Amino acid sequence: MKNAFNNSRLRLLWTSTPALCRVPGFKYPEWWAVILAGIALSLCGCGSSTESHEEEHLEHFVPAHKPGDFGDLVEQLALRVPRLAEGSQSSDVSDEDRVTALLELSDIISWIPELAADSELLKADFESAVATGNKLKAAFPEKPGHPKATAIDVATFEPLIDELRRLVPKSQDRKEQM
Amino acid sequence: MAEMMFWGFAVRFLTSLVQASPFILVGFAVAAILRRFFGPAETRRLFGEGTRSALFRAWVIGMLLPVCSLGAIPVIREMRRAGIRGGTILAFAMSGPLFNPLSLLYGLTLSEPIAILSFAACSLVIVTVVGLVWDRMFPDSALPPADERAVAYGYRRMLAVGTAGGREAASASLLYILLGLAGAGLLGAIIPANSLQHTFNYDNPLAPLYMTGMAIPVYATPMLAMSQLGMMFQHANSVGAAFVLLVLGAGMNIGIVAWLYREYGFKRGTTWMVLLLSVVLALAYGVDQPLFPKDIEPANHTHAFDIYCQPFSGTLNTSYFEATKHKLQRDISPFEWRPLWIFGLLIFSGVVLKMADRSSKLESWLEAAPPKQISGRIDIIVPGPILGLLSLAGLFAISIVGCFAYYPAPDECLEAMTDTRVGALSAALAMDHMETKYWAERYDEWTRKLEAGAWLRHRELSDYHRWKARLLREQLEILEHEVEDREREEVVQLVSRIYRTHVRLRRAYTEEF
Repeated sequence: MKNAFNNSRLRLLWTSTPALCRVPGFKYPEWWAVILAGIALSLCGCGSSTESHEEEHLEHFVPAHKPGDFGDLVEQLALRVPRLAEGSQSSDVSDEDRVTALLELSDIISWIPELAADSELLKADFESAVATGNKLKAAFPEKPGHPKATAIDVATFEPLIDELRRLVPKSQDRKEQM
Repeated sequence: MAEMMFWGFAVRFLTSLVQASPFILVGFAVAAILRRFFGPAETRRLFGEGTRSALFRAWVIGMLLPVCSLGAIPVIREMRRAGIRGGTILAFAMSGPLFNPLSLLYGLTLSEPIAILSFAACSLVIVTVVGLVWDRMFPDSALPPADERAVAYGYRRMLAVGTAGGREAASASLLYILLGLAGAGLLGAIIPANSLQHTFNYDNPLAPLYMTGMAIPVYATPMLAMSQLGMMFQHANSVGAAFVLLVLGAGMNIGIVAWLYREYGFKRGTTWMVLLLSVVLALAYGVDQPLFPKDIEPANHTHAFDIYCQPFSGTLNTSYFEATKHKLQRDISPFEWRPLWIFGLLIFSGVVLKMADRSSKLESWLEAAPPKQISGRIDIIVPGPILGLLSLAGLFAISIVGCFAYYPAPDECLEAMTDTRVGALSAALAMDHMETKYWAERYDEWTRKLEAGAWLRHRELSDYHRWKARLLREQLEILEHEVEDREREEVVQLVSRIYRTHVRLRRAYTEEF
């Protein structure tokens, strides 16, 4: 308890606020006390101490299934779509695995604009990739998180994936293209 | 510890004062225009006093004028002198500092521009609901209008505006402004460095509540608040907290609260505060989920509030005085000091006037009617209110023109970005976290200016162009963390990645419009 007090912002306020407010002959109006109390309360309630903050790590979460680049994204789509279609007809795949696979595929489709922008694609090709991504989204089951979500239709997906595949060479870095 | 707190206060107080100076000057100019060009009766007419449109008019005028929450203080004092009701005055006080043309443009470069437009609509709801209820509860909140004699046309009228501005700058307005700045300084003295980085994460249901506790003493110019919203959206932090920051952080300060309680008393002041906080919190929780950015991976932190915490942490290699001097020299550009000197000059002239002319003889002379000197058919006397309206429209026009200067053309932005890119990438390769952070923040700011500048000149900005700038900002943010964590290998990879992203961004903004 004592240690918690030593590390807390309460201690900081306890040791520092009176020193700030010690002005001889000054009578504090009521509202000033209310404001100070408000600040003190808000500070006790939020944030973390400097000490504990230093142990925390500032993170930008990158999901494990996020493709490295646009080419990788198209490859992932080409790999996952037939696998999902097979899985939906097989009794060996659990509902949970199928839902996870559907959600991951949905994420990959939503990363099309970002990865297309993070490539050598020019504006017209970027817009074509985004438009194809939107068609893929439209062809996707409405509630991919639901165990009873309808299976994906490979015949609709494959031509769209081919459209994206045609953009892959243009998306690669100049020296990779050579 | 006490020394660190003192210098923390000094840094935050001075930085806020310098940032606020141009807006405070505009505030004094508007107050003087209302007093001398409009006069009490026309000021009441301008704000639609006694009509149903009063609150809406106050909101619109507030939105158009480039003032901040400190610059709003002389204006609301002038509105009170003119005999305007409390609800209308407070509606102006709340809406004036939220947006101006510069900050609105900046806001539209955010990943979710719809969020900014929704925030603007919500601010109208706030001032309308709070103003209506408050005016209904306290219908006699207006003072009897001040007995002000009009100043006749000619140079005397222009001089009268100058003397009104000077006298106001040396009045209680200055004390309320200093009190507002002291709130920002106090936060810089007592909140430990970087301790607010995790408080406003998207998954913290109390984030809007915590922000409400912190945002009133916070002072933010409209641009600063908007850039903080940008950072919060980039990190997918709590949207509700972002909304509270805009409304209370930019719209309020301790000076306004003090003025409210002094003018209206404890009961009315507290009623207004309770009404305001209730509506703001209800709206904050209301917009939290619907406006949450859908295409951003949430981060577990934000840097938006580092500037409200103590500026120094750990042990310094130099004295606090030297560290403060160095920080102010780096954070404030030389041209940013100029409005502060003008503000100082205005205060000085006001003090001299007050001391040398206690019985307002100068004003009596200015108000004395000059003989009519109309020399021809086209020599007409322009009525004061018309001049006043033209002056206010001029201020608005200047802020629009200012947008083109503040957001240069893409070519100029890209040229300016070269220095920041070299600074950020070389600092990263040297694994110098402080330098990387410093240059990365400026580099980031230029990407936003690039977007706004391109939009201003082409009247459109495609998703392609938005993505190019956004990717660069995201990579800079990761670079800063990798340098902080001393991950050399990742830093080297990121530096080359950022270089490529920059080349693509340049191509997009120079060749693909």
